[in-house]
Amino acid sequence: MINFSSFTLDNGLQVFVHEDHTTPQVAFNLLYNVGSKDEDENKTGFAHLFEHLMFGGSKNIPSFDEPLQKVGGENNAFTAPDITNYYITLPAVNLETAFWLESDRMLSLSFDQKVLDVQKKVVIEEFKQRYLNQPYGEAWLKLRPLAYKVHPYKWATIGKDVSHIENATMDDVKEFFFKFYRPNNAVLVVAGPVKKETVQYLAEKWFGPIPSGEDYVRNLPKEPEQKGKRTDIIETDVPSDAIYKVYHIPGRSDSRYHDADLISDVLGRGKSSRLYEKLVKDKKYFFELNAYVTGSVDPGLLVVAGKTPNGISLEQAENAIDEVVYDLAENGVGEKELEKVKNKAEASLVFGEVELLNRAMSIAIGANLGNPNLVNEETGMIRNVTTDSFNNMAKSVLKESNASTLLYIKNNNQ
Amino acid sequence: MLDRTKAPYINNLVQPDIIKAQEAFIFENTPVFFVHSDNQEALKIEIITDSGSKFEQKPAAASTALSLLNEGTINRTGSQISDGFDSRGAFTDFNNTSDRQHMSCYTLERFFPEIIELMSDVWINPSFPENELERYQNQKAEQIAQQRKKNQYKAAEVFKNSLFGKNHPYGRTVGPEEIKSITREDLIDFHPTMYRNPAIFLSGKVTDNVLSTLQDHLQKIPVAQANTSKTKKPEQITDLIVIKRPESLQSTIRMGLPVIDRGHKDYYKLVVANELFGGYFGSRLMKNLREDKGYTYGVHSRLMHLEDEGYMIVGTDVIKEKTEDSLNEIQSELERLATESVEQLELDTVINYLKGNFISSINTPYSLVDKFKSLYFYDIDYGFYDNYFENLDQITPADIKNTVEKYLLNNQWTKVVVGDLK
Repeated sequence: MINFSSFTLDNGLQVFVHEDHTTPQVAFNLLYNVGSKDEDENKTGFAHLFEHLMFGGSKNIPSFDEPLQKVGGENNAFTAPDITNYYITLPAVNLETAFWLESDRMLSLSFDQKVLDVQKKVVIEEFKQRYLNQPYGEAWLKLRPLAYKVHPYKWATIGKDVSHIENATMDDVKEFFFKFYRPNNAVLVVAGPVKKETVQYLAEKWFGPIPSGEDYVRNLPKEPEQKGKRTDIIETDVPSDAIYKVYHIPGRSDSRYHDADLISDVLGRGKSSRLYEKLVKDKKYFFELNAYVTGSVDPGLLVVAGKTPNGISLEQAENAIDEVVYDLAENGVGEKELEKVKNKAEASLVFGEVELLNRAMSIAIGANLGNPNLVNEETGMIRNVTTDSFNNMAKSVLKESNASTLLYIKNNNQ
Repeated sequence: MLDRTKAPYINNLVQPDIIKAQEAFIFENTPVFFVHSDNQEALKIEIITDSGSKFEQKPAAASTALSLLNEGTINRTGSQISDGFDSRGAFTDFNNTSDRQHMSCYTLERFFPEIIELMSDVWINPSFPENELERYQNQKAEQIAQQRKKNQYKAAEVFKNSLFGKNHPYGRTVGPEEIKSITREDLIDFHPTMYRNPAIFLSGKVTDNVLSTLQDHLQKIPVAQANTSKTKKPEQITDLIVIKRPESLQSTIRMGLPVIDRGHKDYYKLVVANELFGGYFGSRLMKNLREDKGYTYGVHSRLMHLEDEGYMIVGTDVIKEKTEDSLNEIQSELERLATESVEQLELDTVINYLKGNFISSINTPYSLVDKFKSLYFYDIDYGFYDNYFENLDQITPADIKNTVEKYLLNNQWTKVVVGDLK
């Protein structure tokens, strides 16, 4: 059980306090309710580029990192399709430094042209390092637009194309900032050996004076039901053939989400999963094969991904996956196997709560979904999955008309 | 009116008391250490033996034997083993290094009896099934072939080969041929090595029940005490080695040199010098190559310690056209540290950063046991951490200059580039 209390500032900033007096350290997690799905289709990669700019100095403080390092703190951030999350860990005695730094960059950035120019270059190198200069690095750049035709999940967080990053201007930066980086569009969690009163005092002092912005009303196009199988093929210089097959599933706040999550576990989580047992161990059609879910807020994807050895055709490989997947859809799961994946999911939650920072993040993510107590309810939700609800979900999502397949064919020029 | 230009008061960081691992008992020369916490439902058990790759007669025997443990015993099939762990939600991690082998498992405390039964079965009774070996070999060979296409993996291999020599236990790398040449007999031959000098570490919810269950199981294990001789002297190559991959968009750079060990009187100075140079986000290298020039997404330097050798490694991926430029910048940052005194403010920042890092690294029973392990295997006592802040506080700008000059500014560097120079 993760305890927390909460309050909301007049400007709309939601604050949660998780007290843990067994550690000398504080976790300070600030989540902004903006992700790559909120981008303009012609300016993709912007939420992530923006995350980089947040470290380039704010209105009254030229450098974010140095003052934090000076008090023994550390920080980082990540951008996802749904959120952008900034987090600091620091010795509890210097908690106020985190308030000072984070509130100043919420107040306003410095909007320095040199910072923008350099960070555009850095992000382009990140694009290359992670996506272009890496075998299979492009997979998600191709898969997203294959599976999503309308919803903005169709582009990756890094962006659709390097040129979108190159073309970003300071005006774009300012507009984005004042639209999304407002207190009423953020959730703050402070965790560690702190008292609610102290956090409230510091929050009022540092974040209180920041004006709120217009409420952001998210109005994203819904992805229509897929009406037939889709396939895309990449022929390129990769070490071996590979297959990615994805199925649309409900989003994170849908009550049926955990059914879908457990389906992916039965199919392909760990060595005792069906796909691994049958296709890696027995048939040896794959030397790597996994299944997982993207876990996004809006309807997400169940992914089956694997790599095949020489001598196994991709057609054979996909047929073999289909056999296992559609067997599950048709014949369902039994109590014992369901219990196994539930145990594993439950244990993962327990292990995930060991670190203070993870607990702070879980509260923030839950709050952003509208339920800060989600972190405490999740085990119950997993326990509530029944063979019936599981089997119904399997029947409704595991079908060819709901599937998109990306095939990587290794070209033989080498 | 709130003055936002003024930083809040900075409190001094006080050396925290580190919770020390306790010795639970020693069973026939096998020590069992633990850090208990009431706040956990889970626990981690880790069995570490003196049986890393440097002890193998045939390349890849150690890592293959370790990987095959979970694939079948005289009592259980591989499927029964994975099902045994998975159905209790346990996570295993078997890790082979040059020096040692680690078998660890994260489990909910209530499942410990079943989990320790499985772990001792795979440790004592592996059957090394022929068909599982063959499947492993095909998979592993394919994976290595794949990895070698990645510049970072390739660079790491060539770096190891060059820093220690291809025939040195620390410099040897294995490829598909070595993997495929392993036979079942090689694994059976290697298996007794896996009982050498075991030490067991428990952390999390370590109840009396857990300890007594463990003790019962240890009776079955034929532990072997063994002396370990030092590895031979490395044969380092200090040239710049360029593996040309002109189609790459970026070059991977890995460069490094041998350094003093952690018992040396200058070691804390080296820790701080490394941090300033490329250890943290505010380092000289990061400011230069990333924040100023935008040549890279990141650059890092680290101090690494194997049982018999220590080294520093600097790594980055840069715009291919700026590779030579980046190498020069790295060199000039080193020279700058050796010739110009670092400002007191910058030194204070990095020292506080290291202190904060330390505070955040002793928060969970799992990390406390890791801290202990990092001392135990190198015969260093807790004084290393108890006096950490005090030792850091004594370091002066002159120390940094002298340390860089003495230990880092020389021609002992091995440099590897995968990609191209320009």
